[in-house]
Amino acid sequence: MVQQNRTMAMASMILGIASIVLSCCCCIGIIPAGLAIIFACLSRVEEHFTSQAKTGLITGIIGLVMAPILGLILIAMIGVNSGNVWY
Amino acid sequence: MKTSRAELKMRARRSLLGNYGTMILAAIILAGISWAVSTVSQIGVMGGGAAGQVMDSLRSGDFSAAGVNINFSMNIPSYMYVILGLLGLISSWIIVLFAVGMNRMSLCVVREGRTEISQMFWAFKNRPARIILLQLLVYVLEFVSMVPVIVLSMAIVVSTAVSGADPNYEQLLFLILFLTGYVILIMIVYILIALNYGLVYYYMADHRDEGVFASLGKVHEMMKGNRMRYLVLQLSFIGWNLLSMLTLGIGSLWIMPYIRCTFAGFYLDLLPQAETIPPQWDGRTQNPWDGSAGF
Repeated sequence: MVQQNRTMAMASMILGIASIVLSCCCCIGIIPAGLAIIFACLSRVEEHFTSQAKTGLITGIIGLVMAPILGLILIAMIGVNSGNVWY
Repeated sequence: MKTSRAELKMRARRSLLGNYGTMILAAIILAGISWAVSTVSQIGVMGGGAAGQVMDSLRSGDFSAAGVNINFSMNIPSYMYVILGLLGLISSWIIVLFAVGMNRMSLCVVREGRTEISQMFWAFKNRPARIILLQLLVYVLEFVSMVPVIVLSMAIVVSTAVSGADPNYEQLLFLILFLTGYVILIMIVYILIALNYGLVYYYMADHRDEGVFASLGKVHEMMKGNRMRYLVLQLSFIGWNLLSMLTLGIGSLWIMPYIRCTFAGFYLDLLPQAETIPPQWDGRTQNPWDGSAGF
């Protein structure tokens, strides 16, 4: 039982880190970020989160916030660059 | 015994450890069956429409429409819509029977800490007629609630057809205001019904010998004094559903079993203590529901 709990927390951590990396790729990071948060919360079967689940939760939230912001910045940069072509 | 919301959720998470695979497989099977049933019925209707068109062409001797220019979407005979409706009804019965089977699985998970995929077919083998009858009652209720809207719409159509004029501004405004008020009223009624009888599918999944009206009566009794708890528990999953949407539904594979097991736990919490532990419980392994050590 403890092993399964750890597996879920580990998956959360990996997905959280992946979400930060993928947040640069036009909002794709939102999916692993959401999954990281889900797995972190579902792995909590005691009063407190395990350290891996905590890491997954924090990195997942960071990925969730970063993905749309970086996506918007990317769109803005493309817009600015495409505008330069016409001038 | 009134267990707190946080404790119910914690117990559901504990019970699900080691059972996610089975529950996810069941959810995928249910989704696959729903998709297959709807696709087969649509293909059947389209095929039936096309076949009818070919037959008409053969009878009339005009082969151009049959051979070259079959319009699959526009020339469906009217009786095919009746068949489509019946297929939709049958498919919804199949899906609700599977959903009751999944409730049975959730009950097994929270009670015994384990379940099997065969439990998904439990409702098909254990008096399925009562579940079908309950679903039929739901349809009748939905139809009855739509009657005023149908009558009013028909009255406006008939009155404009008789007078020969287009519907005027006052009529349209009245229709919009009526529909808005009526939809709000119906939503309140549906919420009240859900708060009173929301656990009936869990009850039927747990009590094979109870009929529809007996189950509804028992669930109504159980929900007395617990409706607000049930509502708050329902609302507490809004955030989870938003997370599920963010992951394009992938997260729901884990979230739906969690929600089902939490409500199964809530249902067990409302049962009298004597009914909570099933007689077949052998006591050799830890029962996650008793909340004692072991996790």
